[in-house]
Amino acid sequence: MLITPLSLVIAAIALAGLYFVTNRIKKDRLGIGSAMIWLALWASMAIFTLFPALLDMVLPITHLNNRVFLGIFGALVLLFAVQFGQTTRMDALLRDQARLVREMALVNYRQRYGLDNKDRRI
Amino acid sequence: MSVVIALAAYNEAKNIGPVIRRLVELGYECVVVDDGSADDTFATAEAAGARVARHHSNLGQGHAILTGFMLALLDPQCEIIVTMDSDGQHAPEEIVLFLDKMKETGADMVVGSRVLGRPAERNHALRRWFAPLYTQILNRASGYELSDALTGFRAFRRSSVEREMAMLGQMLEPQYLTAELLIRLGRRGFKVDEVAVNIRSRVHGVSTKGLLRMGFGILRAVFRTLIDNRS
Repeated sequence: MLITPLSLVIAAIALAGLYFVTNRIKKDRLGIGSAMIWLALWASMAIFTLFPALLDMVLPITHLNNRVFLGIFGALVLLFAVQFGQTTRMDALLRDQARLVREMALVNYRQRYGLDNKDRRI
Repeated sequence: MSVVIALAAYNEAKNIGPVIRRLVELGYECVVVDDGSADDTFATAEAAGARVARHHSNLGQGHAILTGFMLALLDPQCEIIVTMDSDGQHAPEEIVLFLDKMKETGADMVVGSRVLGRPAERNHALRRWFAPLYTQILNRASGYELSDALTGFRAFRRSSVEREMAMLGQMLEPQYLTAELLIRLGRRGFKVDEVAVNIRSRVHGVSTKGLLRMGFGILRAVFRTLIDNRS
């Protein structure tokens, strides 16, 4: 195990990240799906920073030549996974927002012009 | 035939008044969807003689047109729904061409064509290149052979729209309604025709439609609609 000042700083950041995630879970401010992703991220960052030799065990599986490539590859995969999750969630939220805004507009319109509010076919 | 004109408007207080007044003079019923405008679009349109609904936040033109459809369908007398721009680029006098075409051919939808008529004088060069390309893509996807598939000046037969009302509530890409609607109508065998329209220049302000964003959105709508197997 080779501990350098930089690896200590990264490990400290990762542990702080773990603390924030667990805190948010306790306060029920983070969904289980997101919590799992972030816990895995911070935990793996802490473990691989303090025990970089563990990466050598993963290298043969990925057919990558060295740890740096593995780090970059892993970070990119994670980044895309997080981005995909965010985009999907944003899409769903925008859809809900549009539906609500439209529904409000229709209800207000019917009230303003004295139309029957029961006739809601769409 | 009883016609309801559905207009989507965003910050068009300076342009919308004369458009509505002209439509009312011609005897049309107007419904306007104020798409979260920050100016007096709502009050101006209502004062000019239209019924107005307001989106409390800006959803985009496609969403506003979709709401406009729903408002038009609330009118039991309405037989034809016409969608057009609220910035004065579409001439209210040309609505009669759409109605004549519908009578003549029995079309479910009639699309205004800037290619057959006269396009806007101040048309962006990129728009001149991309509009035919997008039209070709939409023609391929929908099976129609339109000369201009992107104009917002259109007429719809109420009975056809009502038959497919569930479809309107389930649009995948309401923001790019034009593209999705055309593909869905094509898939269901609707009869679509076109008439020549002349586009006028805006009197006030500039269009807020981003060309590249719109293009990307249209392609996304085409792709999503094509892989959607609900209809």
